[in-house]
Amino acid sequence: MSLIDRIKQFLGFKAKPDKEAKADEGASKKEVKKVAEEKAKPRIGYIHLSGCTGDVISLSENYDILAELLTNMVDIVYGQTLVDNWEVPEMDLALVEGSVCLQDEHSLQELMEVREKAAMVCAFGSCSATGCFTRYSRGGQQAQPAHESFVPIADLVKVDCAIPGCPPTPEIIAKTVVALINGDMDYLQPMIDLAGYTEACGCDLQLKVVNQALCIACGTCAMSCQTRALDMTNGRPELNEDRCVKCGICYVQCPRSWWPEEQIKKDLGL
Amino acid sequence: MSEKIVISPTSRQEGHAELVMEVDDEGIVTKGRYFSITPVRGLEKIVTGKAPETAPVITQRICGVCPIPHTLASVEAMDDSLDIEVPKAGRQLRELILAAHHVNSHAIHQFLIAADFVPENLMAAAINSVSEVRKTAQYVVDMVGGEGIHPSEIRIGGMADNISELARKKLYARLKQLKPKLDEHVDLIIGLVADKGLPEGLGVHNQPTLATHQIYGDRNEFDLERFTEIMPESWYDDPEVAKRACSTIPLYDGVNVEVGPRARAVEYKGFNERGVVAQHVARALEQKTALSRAITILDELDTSAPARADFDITGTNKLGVGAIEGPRGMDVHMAQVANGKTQFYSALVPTTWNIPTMGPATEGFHHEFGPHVIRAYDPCLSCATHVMVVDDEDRSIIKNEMVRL
Amino acid sequence: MVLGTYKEIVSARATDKEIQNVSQDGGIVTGLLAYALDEKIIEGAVVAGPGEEFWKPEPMVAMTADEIIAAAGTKYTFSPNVMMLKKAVRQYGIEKLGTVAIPCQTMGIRKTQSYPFGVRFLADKIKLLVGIYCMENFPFASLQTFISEKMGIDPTLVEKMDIGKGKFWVYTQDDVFNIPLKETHGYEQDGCNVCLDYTCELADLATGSVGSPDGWSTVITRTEDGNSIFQQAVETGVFETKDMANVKPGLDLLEKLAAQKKDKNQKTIDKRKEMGLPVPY
Ligand SMILES: Cc1cc2nc3c(=O)[nH]c(=O)nc-3n(C[C@H](O)[C@H](O)[C@H](O)COP(=O)(O)OP(=O)(O)OC[C@H]3O[C@@H](n4cnc5c(N)ncnc54)[C@H](O)[C@@H]3O)c2cc1C
Ligand code: SF4
Ligand code: SF4
Ligand code: SF4
Ligand code: SF4
Repeated sequence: MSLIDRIKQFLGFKAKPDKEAKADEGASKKEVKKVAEEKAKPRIGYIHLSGCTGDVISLSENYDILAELLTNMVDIVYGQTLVDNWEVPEMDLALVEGSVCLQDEHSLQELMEVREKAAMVCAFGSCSATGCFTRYSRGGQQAQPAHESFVPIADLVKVDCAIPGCPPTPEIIAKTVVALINGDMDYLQPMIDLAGYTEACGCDLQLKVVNQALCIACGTCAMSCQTRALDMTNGRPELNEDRCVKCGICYVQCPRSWWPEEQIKKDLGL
Repeated sequence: MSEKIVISPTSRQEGHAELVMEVDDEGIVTKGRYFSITPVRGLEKIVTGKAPETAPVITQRICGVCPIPHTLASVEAMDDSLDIEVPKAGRQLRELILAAHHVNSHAIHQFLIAADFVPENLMAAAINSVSEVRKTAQYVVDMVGGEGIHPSEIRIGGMADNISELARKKLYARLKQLKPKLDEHVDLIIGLVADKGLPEGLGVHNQPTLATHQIYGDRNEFDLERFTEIMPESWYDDPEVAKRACSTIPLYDGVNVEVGPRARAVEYKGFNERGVVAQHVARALEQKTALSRAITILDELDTSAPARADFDITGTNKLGVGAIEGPRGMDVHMAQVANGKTQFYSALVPTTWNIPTMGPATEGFHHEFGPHVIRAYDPCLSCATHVMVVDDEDRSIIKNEMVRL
Repeated sequence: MVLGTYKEIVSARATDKEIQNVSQDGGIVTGLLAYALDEKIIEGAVVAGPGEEFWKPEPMVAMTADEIIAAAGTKYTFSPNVMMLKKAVRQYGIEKLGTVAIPCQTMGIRKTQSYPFGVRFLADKIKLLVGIYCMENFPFASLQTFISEKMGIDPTLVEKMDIGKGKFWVYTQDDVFNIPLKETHGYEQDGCNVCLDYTCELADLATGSVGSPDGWSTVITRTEDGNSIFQQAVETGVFETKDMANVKPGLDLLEKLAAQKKDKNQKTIDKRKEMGLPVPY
């Protein structure tokens, strides 16, 4: 089954593959409806590896819809910051924050367990998606000097989608969750594609845009950079490596990396 | 017969830690040890050898719940090492952003403890009250700091920019509007905590308090001579705990201390209540103090004044100290710069100070109350891992007791 | 649709004499941003302001009509306007923001709005995006080559530059110079050669000179908001308009140029794909 179908099924939008539905229409329609009702609220888990919690704080900054989101729209079934539950349950979506420390047995174990129990694993935030600043880790610090290797979760398990950002904005988190609830796979496609973008750096602009004769001096990268590591010099991005955390946002937001034309037109009503 | 109860991780707090309690036949805690098992990302070692401006960018990512104090402590340590005199507007903007952050961050804590104190039917209302307070406070952080969660504009030497007059007026007006709302919110929280009827004396300990300033922080009030740091191996008498503990043990005058809102209230406001309830009350009251301070600064701020000093990054290897009063307590960063590079970096984060005090504070009451004591400190230990609550004897899971709390 | 989705196309110009004097064409951009500021539809706008070097623009946040007017006129080189948007809503405290953008900048802004991965609390604050048509843009050094080398003029004497009627024009206080556009080919930035958007198809409304007589602009309204703000401005008398059917050279020319750009650059895209080079679409 494709990822898309799997998500749809897990979220109860299409409880059974079409073929089966046709075989016994009367009965299965009822069942589709029943499953849809039961599964209407996606079960979401939040898993915290080596992250700073900034991503979940950002989620909570959806001030106007937070109460509604948490009480009516989704079921938070797991998440140490949010609920008291100590066993990894079955869930539709696991939001994994933070990179994985290869020297920490427990982190590795938990990630594997989550991969098994979750229909969909989302690299939530840049640490999880690209490694972010933990890519610079090199150990040697008390009280655990051996902890030195931190990698994006996609290095260890299959990741279905990614929401990069350090942290991702409250809006993109809300948009993603709402798209999931609505089964809007068109909207989610970039997140699915970004699961493969695990080696990010501000120098991607130079390598993948300027070097490829694609840069057009718009300044979107410099505006997007959350650490202000980017400036524009003669119309081209100028990277201050001292401030870059390798979150990948500049390249993700650049209009010359990927281009969601249909979605934009839809959003604008054009 | 003594029994050991392990809660790992303690939930609804930031980060990941374990609470190990020895209990007697009645379930009363006789010995409590609390320690962080968060993997160490080694931020102090990441920033060493790099340009000074890297330190605030990286160390603010220690924690996404209290990134503002980390950023401020980091730039203050660098200012000190490089002997920079920060212009007045820069200092005001720094204090403004921290005051707003106190209001926001305490509200986040109130959100996390809501399950302990708020009845189901009031939950949505409580979340909305928290959200409203946070929204306005974060508006300040966004504007002044450039980014709401990891602020980009707090720089060595001051702030990247002053704000516009339009921004100042807007912030002033919104914070004024927030005042009555916040007063109500604080009353609500204090009322809910009182209604819970926690046992008298819960969480009371005899350790001293430590704070450097009522809101912002003052490096002159932190005496490096009186500070020592030891390894968990020589602090915990349980070798298993000592080995797994991920944070060092900071001491002041050779003893462990309490830092945070209650400590500040004790040091600067003559507050003398102790224990869990007192901590929640002090925290809520501090939101009011912080809001008033933010309003005063906005009233006084000259938006045309320079916010950042010019400076030379070469450095003389002077040990610079930045002491900032974060929502969870005093946050001390230390830095040495020479030849334009950071030669040494160390961060003593608020929870690290509280960790050795938190465990013993659970003693003398039923272990059911243990997590209450821990959460009253609003601990913040970025990172997380495994999940289990086990009885040490038969390894059975005792999570039900936890949910009840 | 070679001109993108739109509601209306008219020929227009600002009625204000001061704006007419400083603007590139019909003063649509300056007139509309100033009107929106006046009506409190926006609290400020990001424009390509004068830079330190002559003719090298710097993106800036304008909070008064005077500042918007001071930025009027086309600079045929990079002004990364998008980079200032965040600052405008942060340190400047603007919650209702206007901006002017060429098509590729508009793409950057719109992508950020639909997918705000790292750009928080900005998408909903952009209330007016005035787009301008664009065939290509030049590195600053290319402009210097045209002006100093090919035309032999001191750049500091230049009062206005323009592209039209197949030529690149330079105006000084008392002279007009030009070179044929084919002499400028190869001096544009290469990124423009994969750009398919001529008429700023994703703006709230878009404007440029092509299609209208000198001193007038061709205005294409696109979104609901863009259309209604422009109509209000016309009703208030900020702009006078003419039916496109009655002006020369008319819509045909605009359609022709837009189609030419698409055809030519589609070929470049195809060629890049053949060579295995990346393209965003
Ligand atoms: C690079 C470039 C290429 C163009 N190519 C064409 C074309 O092929 N056909 C056509 O019809 N029109 C083209 N135009 C648009 C045209 O030159 C006028 O800008 C447009 O008609 C608006 O005129 P106006 O009188 O309404 O604007 P004005 O009132 O003069 O205001 C112009 C506005 O544009 C902004 N601006 C100036 N330079 C830049 C820049 N480099 N980047 C971003 N913003 C800027 C200014 O800040 C100002 O706010 C081009 C513009 C540019 C910048
Ligand atoms: S991506 Fe940024 S916000 Fe998220 S965990 Fe990492 S440092 Fe924190
Ligand atoms: S330049 Fe900025 S946006 Fe790009 S990867 Fe580095 S920190 Fe992230
Ligand atoms: S965002 Fe714009 S300026 Fe930055 S690299 Fe991409 S095209 Fe160039
Ligand atoms: S041709 Fe396209 S890419 Fe080039 S400057 Fe104009 S809008 Fe941008």
